[in-house]
Amino acid sequence: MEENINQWKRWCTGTRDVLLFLLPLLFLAVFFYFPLVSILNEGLTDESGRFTLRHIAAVLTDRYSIRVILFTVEQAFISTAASVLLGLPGAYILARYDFRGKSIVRAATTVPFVLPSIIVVLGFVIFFGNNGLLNRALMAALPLDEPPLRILYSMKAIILAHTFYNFPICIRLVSAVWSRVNPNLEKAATSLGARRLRLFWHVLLPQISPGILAAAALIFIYCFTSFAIILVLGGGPRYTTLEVAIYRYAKVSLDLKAASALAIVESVLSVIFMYAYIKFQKRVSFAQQVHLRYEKKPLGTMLRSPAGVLAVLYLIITFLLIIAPMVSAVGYSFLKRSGWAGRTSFSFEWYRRLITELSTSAFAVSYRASIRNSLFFGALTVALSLPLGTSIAYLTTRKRFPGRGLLESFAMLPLGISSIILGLGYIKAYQSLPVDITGSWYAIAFAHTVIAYPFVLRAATSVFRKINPRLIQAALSLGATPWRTFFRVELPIIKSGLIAGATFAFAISIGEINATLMLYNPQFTTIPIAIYRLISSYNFYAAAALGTVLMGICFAVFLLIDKIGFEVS
Amino acid sequence: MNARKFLRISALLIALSTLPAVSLSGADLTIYAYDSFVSEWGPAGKVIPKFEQKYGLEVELISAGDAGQVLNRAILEKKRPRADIVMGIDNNLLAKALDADILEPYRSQNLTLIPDRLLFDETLHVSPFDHGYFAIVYDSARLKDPPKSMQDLLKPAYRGKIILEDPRTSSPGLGFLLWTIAVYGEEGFLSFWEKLMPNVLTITEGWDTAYGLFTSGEAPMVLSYTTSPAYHVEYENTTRYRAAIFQEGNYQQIEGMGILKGAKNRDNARKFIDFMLTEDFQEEIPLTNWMFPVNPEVELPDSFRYAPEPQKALSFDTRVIHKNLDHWIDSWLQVAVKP
Repeated sequence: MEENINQWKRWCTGTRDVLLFLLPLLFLAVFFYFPLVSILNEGLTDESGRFTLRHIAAVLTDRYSIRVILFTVEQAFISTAASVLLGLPGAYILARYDFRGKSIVRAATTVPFVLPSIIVVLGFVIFFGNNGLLNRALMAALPLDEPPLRILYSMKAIILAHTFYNFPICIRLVSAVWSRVNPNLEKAATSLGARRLRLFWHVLLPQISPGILAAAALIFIYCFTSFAIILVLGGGPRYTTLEVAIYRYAKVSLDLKAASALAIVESVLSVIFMYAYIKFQKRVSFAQQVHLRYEKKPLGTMLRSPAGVLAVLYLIITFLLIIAPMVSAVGYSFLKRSGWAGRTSFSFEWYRRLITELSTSAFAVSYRASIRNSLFFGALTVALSLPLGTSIAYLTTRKRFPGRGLLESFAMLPLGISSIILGLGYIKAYQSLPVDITGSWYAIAFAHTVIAYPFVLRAATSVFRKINPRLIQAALSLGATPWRTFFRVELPIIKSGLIAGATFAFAISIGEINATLMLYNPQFTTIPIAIYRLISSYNFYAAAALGTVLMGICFAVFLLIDKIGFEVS
Repeated sequence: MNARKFLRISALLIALSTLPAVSLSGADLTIYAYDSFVSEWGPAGKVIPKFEQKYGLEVELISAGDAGQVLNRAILEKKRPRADIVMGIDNNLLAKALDADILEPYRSQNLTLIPDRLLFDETLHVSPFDHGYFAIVYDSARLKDPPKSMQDLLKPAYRGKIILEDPRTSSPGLGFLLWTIAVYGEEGFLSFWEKLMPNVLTITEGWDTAYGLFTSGEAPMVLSYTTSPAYHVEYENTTRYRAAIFQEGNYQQIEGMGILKGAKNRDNARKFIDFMLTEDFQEEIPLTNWMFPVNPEVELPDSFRYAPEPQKALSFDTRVIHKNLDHWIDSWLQVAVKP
């Protein structure tokens, strides 16, 4: 009898581990790898199913595609350079100086990680548009008839929006490295007579360059696969990137062959960039070993020199650059315009509609339905990605088995594939099934899960590593069942990590537009899609109201993450 | 957190996620329409309730983007059509729809109410519901010297002053491309475009973005319809915005709708087509869709006096379009992306 129970227990534990292993694998296989393989299959075979490089070759020789590829790289390169240049002074100030409000500035650098791209687009159009706040203020101040800053619908708009979105990443990553630079080296160099430029070039730069490179690589990847910003701000076929081209082929001209071929080209390129980022990142963590720190000077000491005034100006301008577009979006949400060229007036109209809107969801964009849908997908994404990420993290940190490293990279690959391509994969993979899953709510939820769960995985892995294995052994030897041990001993320890991961997953789902735009059907319009549709139909006021709601949700998420202190990058 | 609490939270999350669930309505008729048709000021809010009341049927209206995207969706779902009617197939898209073989013909007895010149599909797969002419619409307050011909658009004074739509994503955009081919022929249209591009501020995805840019003063000229000035007269009481009539002629658009093969509610779909051709539906077209009704019995509103009559109506045979369109768009694209 006793033996039977023991056997049963052992069998249970065994089965549990196998299930823990198989379920996530099955999920990823069906909702990530199968769609990916379908794209490869579509892009690399001819009509009779034989292998061919014809489609890839066609893409790489077509003048339009070449132009698209070159433009994608070009804009990502310029955007990255601009973001890094704008971010470096900030990194320096944050690393070397203390001042009042520093924690707010530092917290503001987290914004790009949680702020949906569609909000950037919205704030940008409202603030920098030819008819935007900045131009109108300048026209009133200088008396001018024409808007002086013509930024929108050109390359400038893309670069500026990308810079605005990404330079805080540079501040964040580089200031972290910079504040860990060994101060003794600098002192030694100074005592040996090295001055300013020489000091920077030969002593400082070699130490912070891994941080700069890692930041640059990450920003480059973000800009390379940027979608919503290009779609709205680019304007016209001249400013089309790979992501937008794939979207157009898949959704507008229905040419899945061309879309798949382009997707393969893009993925190969982005995997290369990803590899570079991981390399740089490794060097950064190696550099972290030094424990000596600079003593931080109060910023007041700098104010006495002209350089200090510049620094303060820089802080104020960049802070405004982050905040102003968002604040103007909130302001716009209380305005209303009658008809195409009517007068603008103050109004609570959009908020009234959010609350008392008639249930005519079939007509136009239903604001309330979009909020409900977004919360629904957010909740589902959390519900799915939490067990998925936690179980993989558990396996890779706790169990020793052959191919563990392989499982890890297998599980992290979704980070390297753009969500437009994921959406394309769903369209292609499930096209021939008897049930049409594209346009269904679960397709969107699964796509969001695949995109969001690596963040849960990362958060869970780091907390699992923190647990002292003796604690678990102690609980087990005192007679607790493994389940009981998990819930009573481990869960309380890993809770904060899991909450951070879940919050992040929620934020990603709620701001996601790329895969959603590929898969949604009007019934499942989410907030970002509704904002996109409203911007396209030039109803900025209603878009701003929905944007304000979305920002409110993101702000709550941001506060929560900040409170838990989860390292996002 | 103990086990029970954890389970309770998980249960709550799962329950929450099924909340809005899928309320697939048991509608009696499903229509795919383009965005502006179902928008707040579009015809849908007027004509659909009328139809529902008259026949006691419930209509589900799904907006799936621009007319081209709506048709694409219907083609994509050919094996399992979700909708019964697809709306917005115009004279330029007709051949694509016929070739995809997604529609079934229907000869409504009400077609006798429509003049023959507007019956653009002889095979009767598509029945017309409105028509109009593309035009460059300009802001007379900011443009003192409006264009009088297609050739005029090349004037150096117009640099960066024209907003166009993308022919790959928008029906006015496609109409304009075909318009230039109708004027300059297959040999000449590309060199026209090459010279035109410096004068183009931007090429937008859809008409509404372009028109929004125009009315907020980003540029004084936009590709739209001859009826656009009537809108501003009707709602804003201004004659500031005007449509240019070109010496070479203005390109015509006739919009229609058709019944999908394998439609679940074929009889109701036929009722809708019958209804669509009557004055009940047609009288709403001018002030909501800003096009001309196909039924000549409808009296036009006063503001339509500001929709100028073209000197010449241009159009292409739908077969010619379908045979050449991909090629034309590809070669256009090469010119349009040149920096």
